[in-house]
Amino acid sequence: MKKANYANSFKTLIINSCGKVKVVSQPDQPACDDLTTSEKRKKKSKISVIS
Amino acid sequence: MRKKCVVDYYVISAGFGVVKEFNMLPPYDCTFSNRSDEEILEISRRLRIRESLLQLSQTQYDLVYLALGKDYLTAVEDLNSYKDIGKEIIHFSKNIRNLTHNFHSVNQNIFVNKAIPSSIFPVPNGNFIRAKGTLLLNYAIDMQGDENNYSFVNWWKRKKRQIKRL
Repeated sequence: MKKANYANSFKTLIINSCGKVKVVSQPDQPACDDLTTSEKRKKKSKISVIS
Repeated sequence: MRKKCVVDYYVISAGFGVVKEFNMLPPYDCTFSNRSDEEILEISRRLRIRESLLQLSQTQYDLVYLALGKDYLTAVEDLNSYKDIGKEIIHFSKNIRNLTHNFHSVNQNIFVNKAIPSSIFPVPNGNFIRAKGTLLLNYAIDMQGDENNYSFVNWWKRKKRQIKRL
């Protein structure tokens, strides 16, 4: 009988908190409350999670 | 962990709500920490954090790991509303009562202790213990040797016994 692949069927969900997103290339960004959603989408940077 | 199982990874952001890993965001400086519960809930509802997390309930997970501190747990609101999301739901609050049987609280104070040898809780980088992430890393390492039992709750019971013997 073929053995079921337990590992491949095991599903994990990780929810982390993001306290800060490091400012790397644009040092003078306003706080999030000052940005509209569309502005937020336009400006992109790499997320760096600090838990 | 991805060597062993399927992992979905999301981040709760006080600026953007629930964000899937690798999503690109603008730089911002916003956190739930050091805010009042009322402020946290106001931001959380504006960002529809609860609704976003409930959408994840469409998948039945074997393990849900809530690597969230007190303020971020406030932002997700009533934990019981996520009871159907996973068979084992791990969280780090000692103060939340009346949760369903599949919620399991881990007392972080047990392992945030520099006296514990690194052979039990290896720290990936730096000289301090990154508590919740380090615990999950150690679980993932131990997964490599156990092909048929990935229960986090059972693993944590075994680890606690090791700590008590020290």
